[in-house]
Amino acid sequence: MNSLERLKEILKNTDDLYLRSPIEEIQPSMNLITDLGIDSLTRITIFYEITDHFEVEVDEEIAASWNTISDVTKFIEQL
Amino acid sequence: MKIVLSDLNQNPETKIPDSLKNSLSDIFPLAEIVIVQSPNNLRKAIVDADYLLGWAAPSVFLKKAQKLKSIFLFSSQIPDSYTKMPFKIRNITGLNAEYVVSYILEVLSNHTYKNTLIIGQGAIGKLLKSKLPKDNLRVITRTPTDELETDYKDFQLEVSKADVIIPCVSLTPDTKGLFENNHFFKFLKEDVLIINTARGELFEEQDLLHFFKTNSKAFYHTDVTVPEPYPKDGALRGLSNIKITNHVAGFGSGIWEKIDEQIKNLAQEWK
Repeated sequence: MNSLERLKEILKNTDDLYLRSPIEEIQPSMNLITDLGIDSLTRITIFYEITDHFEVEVDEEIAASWNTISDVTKFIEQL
Repeated sequence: MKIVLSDLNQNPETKIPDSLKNSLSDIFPLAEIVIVQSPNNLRKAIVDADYLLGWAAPSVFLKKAQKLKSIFLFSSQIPDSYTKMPFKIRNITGLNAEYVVSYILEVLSNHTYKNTLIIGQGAIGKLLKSKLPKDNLRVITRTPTDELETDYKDFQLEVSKADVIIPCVSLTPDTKGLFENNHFFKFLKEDVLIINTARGELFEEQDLLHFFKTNSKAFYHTDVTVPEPYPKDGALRGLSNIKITNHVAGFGSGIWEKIDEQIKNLAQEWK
């Protein structure tokens, strides 16, 4: 399973997540705010869903630098 | 007893005031009170908290809670996931309904309209119904009880007749589906006014853009968007028939005093 597929699995299991695009159609180039409607709290939610999934402790500040889905999948690849 | 106050809200207009923070130690003199403003601190604080107050925490944080008994949210929406968790949950619905309704009535006062449709009948829908003229008012509710009310099975028919539509529903997978293009937008009048103080997620941005671009007489007035705050260069801001205000409908003068009073009532229960 590649990092994009892994991310989609995590998003499918995230509560209270309402994205502008169906999870199956998410692409690496999508912008988190303009394409998916992800606000700062949702970004944090996704960050902790990922770190809890991988059972790692990482500074949440890194999530503030994410602009696109590609940034999130790169983060996953580094875990 | 450990009480955590979640102060994660990004909106400066609805920031928890110091007066309320200060009064917590008077209300709970024997409790350890932790006020948190960063997600990571909130996540850690929740682990051994007995009670949680304030803005909703991501449910991924609540899954770590070991002792949590009860939550009091300073919002009128309870996240869907919270309802499946084993905590007692309260929120400010009822406390803030009159502010939301005042906001809606103010918007209505600036428009000419005839047939009004309220969708949903929680605290806000009920209060709004009581404030509007009964002539030409319809209310869609799950359990109709009087002549103004109709069932969700008549949704599209009612929507097609309405000059003004005011969603007063919480966000759930069911209500989200109600407002999809094929169920909702294609049935609307070309000059409909939609007032959304419920949740931005009820509508897809693409559906809003398409409808309000092609129907210049229609108008959308909202204080809830996706994301929040809505970007200055967001696509909806490019349309003159869409008006977005800050998310303040539920926070009129005096709301914090009411919340403080509610916390005092809860304190009797929590002690």
